[in-house]
Amino acid sequence: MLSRVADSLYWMSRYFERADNAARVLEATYGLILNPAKFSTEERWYRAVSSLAPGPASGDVDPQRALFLLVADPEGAFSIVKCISGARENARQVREEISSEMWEHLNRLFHAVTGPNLQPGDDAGAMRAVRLVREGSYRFKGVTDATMSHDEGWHFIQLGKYIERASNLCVLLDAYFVVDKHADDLDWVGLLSSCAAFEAYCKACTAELRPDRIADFLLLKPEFPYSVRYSLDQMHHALTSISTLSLSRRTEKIERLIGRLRSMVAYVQVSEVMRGLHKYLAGIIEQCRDLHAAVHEVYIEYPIDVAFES
Amino acid sequence: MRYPCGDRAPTMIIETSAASAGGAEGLRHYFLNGAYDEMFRSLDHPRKQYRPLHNLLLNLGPDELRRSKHEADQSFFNQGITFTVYGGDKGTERIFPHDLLPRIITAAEWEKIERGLTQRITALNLFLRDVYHEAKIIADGVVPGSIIYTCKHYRREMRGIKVPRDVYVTVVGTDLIRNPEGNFVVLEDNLRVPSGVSYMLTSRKVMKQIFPGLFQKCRVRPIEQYSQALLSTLRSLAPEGRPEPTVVLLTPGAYNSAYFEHTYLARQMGIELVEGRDLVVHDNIVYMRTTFGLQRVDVIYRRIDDDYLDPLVFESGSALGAVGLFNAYRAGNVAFANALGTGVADDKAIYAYVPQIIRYYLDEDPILENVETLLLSDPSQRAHVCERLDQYVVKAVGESGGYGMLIGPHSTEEERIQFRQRIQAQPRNYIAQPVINLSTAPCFVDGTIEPRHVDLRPYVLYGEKIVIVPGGLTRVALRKGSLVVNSSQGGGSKDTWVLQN
Repeated sequence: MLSRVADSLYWMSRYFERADNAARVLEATYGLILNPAKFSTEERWYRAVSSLAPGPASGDVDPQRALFLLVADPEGAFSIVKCISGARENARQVREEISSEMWEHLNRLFHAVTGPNLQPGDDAGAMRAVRLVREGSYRFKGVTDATMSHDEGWHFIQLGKYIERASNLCVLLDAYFVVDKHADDLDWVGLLSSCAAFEAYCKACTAELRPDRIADFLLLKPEFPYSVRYSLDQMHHALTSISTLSLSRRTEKIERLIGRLRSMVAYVQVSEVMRGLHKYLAGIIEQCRDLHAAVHEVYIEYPIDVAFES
Repeated sequence: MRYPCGDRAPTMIIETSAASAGGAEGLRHYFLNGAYDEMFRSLDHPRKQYRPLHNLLLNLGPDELRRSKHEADQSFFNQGITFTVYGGDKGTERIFPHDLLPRIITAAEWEKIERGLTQRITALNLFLRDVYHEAKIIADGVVPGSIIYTCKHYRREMRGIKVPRDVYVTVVGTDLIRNPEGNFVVLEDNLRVPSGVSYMLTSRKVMKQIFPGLFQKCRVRPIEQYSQALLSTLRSLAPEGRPEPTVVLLTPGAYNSAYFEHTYLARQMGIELVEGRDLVVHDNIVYMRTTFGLQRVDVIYRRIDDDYLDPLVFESGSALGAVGLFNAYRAGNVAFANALGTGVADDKAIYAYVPQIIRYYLDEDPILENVETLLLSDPSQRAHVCERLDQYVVKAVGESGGYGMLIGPHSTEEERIQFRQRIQAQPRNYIAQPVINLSTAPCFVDGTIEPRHVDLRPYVLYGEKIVIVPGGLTRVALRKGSLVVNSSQGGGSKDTWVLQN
């Protein structure tokens, strides 16, 4: 498969996952903000913004504008509209590689989200777009799995999705557990809903909301699709499949990185992790970044002399 | 043969023999305007090949036609058969305007077109080989060197380069028109990167769904083998010692107006669609970057103009091609289709010499005539034309797509003054042709059937041998009275049916 095509599929998937993550977080946050709170709404917005749009701007949040910024701001690099446009732009570059159903679905969603031309203050409109994206993303994943051959390209899509998900989960957990010190039960519900995990958590651990159990569930639960452990396992599976299919002989570094990353979640207990949670999460994010760079170097933009050696 | 009930199969036109009341309505507004009409000898006498269609039109009401038209448009839209319109703040995707009624060509007519095109392309290819090697035709005084060497698309870099099989023009789309006497004549040779073949292929698919019975009754020759023919033509150009050559299609990218066609053809042929940034040249060998390393490329079906192929040799600012492609080509390690520099043979001033070119290389008379062409570099012809600009079509020699053109009878005094100045400033850059009344064909426009002017672009493939699939793109000037068929200027297309004997 052409390197450029693999790269576009990977980024299409990453942008889509990013939009999906933002949609879940915003739906949960907006639900929280409607309640009378012990603490100010500013703080909840701050938490949402800092987990979705990292950077110096997240410090001073105007709650009136926060929703607009995160949903429809044409300038902001992190808004949902921006992410959906990014996904579509990448898909457009490789239209002959994805199924027509995928393209149609993504294209429709793009027009539905960008069509209304949202203005600041139109909360109802913004939340409509959020819902469209959340529902649309489940459908897009289903269409992708059902209509595309599960070959190399599909594995790059999987890789993009799960590397993005693992990183987003870590940022979100950091915002709830480390940055925000006075989360209450409603906040914990918010966190679980942000990860589409409330029902699954209740099934496994009852509705008793204990922070360490929540952390255990979202970090280490191998069976739950929105856990860090699950995401890393899927990344490992995708990377192994790609290296088998592409017959590449230069994958030692990638194997080392993904192996180490998985061991960080496979052989620990939550009590050990909780002691230095911030550092632990930062470590996973850092290593995801390294892995991204290694994949890029081996499959996408390898130096020519290296290619001739092997 | 029986057809399912109308309500249940809306895409299919029901062909019956009993005339319904609404039927003849559609043809009531038809008229003949002095041009050769494809369907009617006179309004009472449809030509033989059009009789099945004529019968069908007598029996169909406007509503049925409208419904079919809608179904056809829907089908184009769902398949994503679009082209990009530039202008405004961003390019938008539109479906290619398509007319519902087929254009029909008899076996005898096609036989002549096929022979004529084969002869013409053979001669033009020999001309290109000669121009870039010994240039005997200049030495023998048949075509003046001053015209060849001043061509915008003449490529000095191609001098002395041996191209695979001596084939310069692999894919050709020649524009034919039918004059009022009913003869097909050549209007333009497109020897660089002709486009439109995807519309020919996709519109056939739609027409078969809409007119299945008529299609079968007419005994239309198939064109679906085009993609296989193109692939084997391209493979035949591969460098020696490459029995399983890798063929790729090089596109400028997703923002190009013909991007749909590029993805379509790549998919139909099962070859990679690459962009310049996917290609790497090392030791004069071309590779593409894949996830499993560099893979050698042998034949490049390039849909990029010469100027943008290699920044080392041509436009240095171009990011569409790849550095070093031309050297690899010169070394014979990769083939381009078409070769570089073919534009010298479709320059509109060279066009005037094609009859002589055919006689010179083949010692035969041209089977397909040219349109009379005046070279404005010639002082007396220039003076003649400049006084009568309202009677001529003036064209810039190196342009295509209907750009840089003056249609005398439809022009304003101001435009004529402007063109006169341009001609005086750069006479070599212009030619003039008498206004030709292109033939008309019935089109379904705004609920009625009216005549519109059409041309015909068959596609010629030249590798081991010359292959012409029986068909082509019939382009339609959809505006009433207009003679301009280019899609960028409000033209559309029709399916073209070449009949079996």
